[in-house]
Amino acid sequence: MAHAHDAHAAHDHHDDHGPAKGIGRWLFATNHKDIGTLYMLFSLLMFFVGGTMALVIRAELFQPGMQLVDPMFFNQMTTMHALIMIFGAVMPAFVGLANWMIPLQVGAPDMALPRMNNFSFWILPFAFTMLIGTLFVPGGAPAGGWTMYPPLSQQTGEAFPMLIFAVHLMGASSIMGAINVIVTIMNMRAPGMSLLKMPIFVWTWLITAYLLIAVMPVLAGAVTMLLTDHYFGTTFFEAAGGGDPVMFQHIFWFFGHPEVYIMILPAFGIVSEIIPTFSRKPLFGYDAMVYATASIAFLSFIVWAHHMFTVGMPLAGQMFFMLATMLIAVPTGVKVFNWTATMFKGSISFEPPMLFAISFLFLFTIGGFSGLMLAIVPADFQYHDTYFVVAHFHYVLVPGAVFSLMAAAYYWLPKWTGHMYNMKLAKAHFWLSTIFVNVLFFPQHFLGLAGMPRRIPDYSTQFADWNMISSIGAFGFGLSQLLFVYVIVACIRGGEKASDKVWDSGRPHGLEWTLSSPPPYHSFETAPEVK
Amino acid sequence: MATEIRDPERKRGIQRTVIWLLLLAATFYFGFIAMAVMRSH
Repeated sequence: MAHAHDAHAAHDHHDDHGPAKGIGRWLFATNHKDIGTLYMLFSLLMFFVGGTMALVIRAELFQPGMQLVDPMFFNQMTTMHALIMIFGAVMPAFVGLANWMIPLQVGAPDMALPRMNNFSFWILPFAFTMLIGTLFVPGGAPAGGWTMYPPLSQQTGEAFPMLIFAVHLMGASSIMGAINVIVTIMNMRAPGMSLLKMPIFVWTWLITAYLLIAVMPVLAGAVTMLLTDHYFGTTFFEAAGGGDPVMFQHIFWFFGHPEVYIMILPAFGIVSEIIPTFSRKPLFGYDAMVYATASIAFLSFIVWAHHMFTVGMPLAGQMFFMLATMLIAVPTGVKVFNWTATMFKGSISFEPPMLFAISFLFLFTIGGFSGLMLAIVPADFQYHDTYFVVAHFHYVLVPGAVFSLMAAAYYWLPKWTGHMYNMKLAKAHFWLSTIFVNVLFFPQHFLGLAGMPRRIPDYSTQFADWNMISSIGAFGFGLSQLLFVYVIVACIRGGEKASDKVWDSGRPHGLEWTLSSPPPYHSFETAPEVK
Repeated sequence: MATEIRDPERKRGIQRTVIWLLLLAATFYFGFIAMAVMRSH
């Protein structure tokens, strides 16, 4: 697909000024690589903050009865864990990858709007300082769930305006990031790189960015209306004033369901880059992958009410949302088939990125299947608000989205740093993560099917055994991630020199591999030509 | 220092894309609020 001409020569002949010195390099960063690094370090920090909250939850649930925290604080933990992991860890990590990789993959010198790029990153530390700061205000942090359903969310104390402002800031940051991605891809591609010659990671991000621009403003609109209901006397969602709390749920999930795909489409792109490299074959069905991604994005807009079957809706509505949801299995199945077909008869090797990609393939599919189960209306009436739902979306988001991020880190880290990392430790990290993630989340299926409700700090003794196993898995998984940090830090500090192609024995494909490892601070100042 | 885009045609293209995307975002934001206003009694 992409062949770079004189890519090396291009960056050897300009006035190569390096990064600024000191803290100014990061505060006033406009270089896509620096901003990508900032995003990813921030998301790693948030991953540990949100993860610590998850461990508080799992510690309390280790055995029945109330042991460690009071119920109000437990609810604050569930709410904050979700908000931090979704908006602080997973989304910024993908934006960081987009910043690092999209210009390199499309042969652009930088993102199209580098100053806005700086702004969209630096909003985030303020937003999350404010969000985490709610833990210290009278009334405590938001505790009504990340969905912020009224009237419950209207009972939040002093934290309410801070929550709303933080969500607005996160939304603004995401929209600016998405605009930057689209503008870069549409206007900055190297000559000869037509849309259907773009790397698949770029494609998945292009579609994700459109999803972001369509739905983040909807979330912003919903929380704006929560705010006006709270302080300005409107009654959008207040039944007493003629409003409708269910309308909030419709608006929220019009954002919320595409949000799920915002967190998984770039993951599909990463896996679609890694599997061909380590199978030593081109991606099977490139065009089909692109159309499947676009189909998933389109369908994600017409399935929102499957989150609300138990709220009550006409039979026709139930049928429509059930069938539309099941339809998503078709393009998703195309993807799983194509990844499998790419590996079929390939000369596969199992380096850490490939291990995570294969694990993703199996475990994300489990999450997909439990999603199909939840799409069935009569079954959903049984499963709704149980631990089965918790198991489902954690399978999609942890061995799905998070594993793809780890795969991406292990795939591109040598390119970013110029050093190879410790393969043995990375493989140990993989095995520990894969084992513990299943110990953590698989038992939650059984708990849910047995009727254990979610967001509850105490439970009946019949659920004790699986909860204990799940909590052991949680601590095992959490501690394993320290190994991930160690491998990254050690790789940044030094190690065996990485070659330009990094995975010489594999089949890495794309413009990023034509650059040195690490790439020059200003890459592709003269656009490469793609044939 | 930010990489400057010198090609005027590319610059115009970028400006056009940004404006369309901002309009799209604003439409969703105000559109949903407007729908909620029309639905409330």
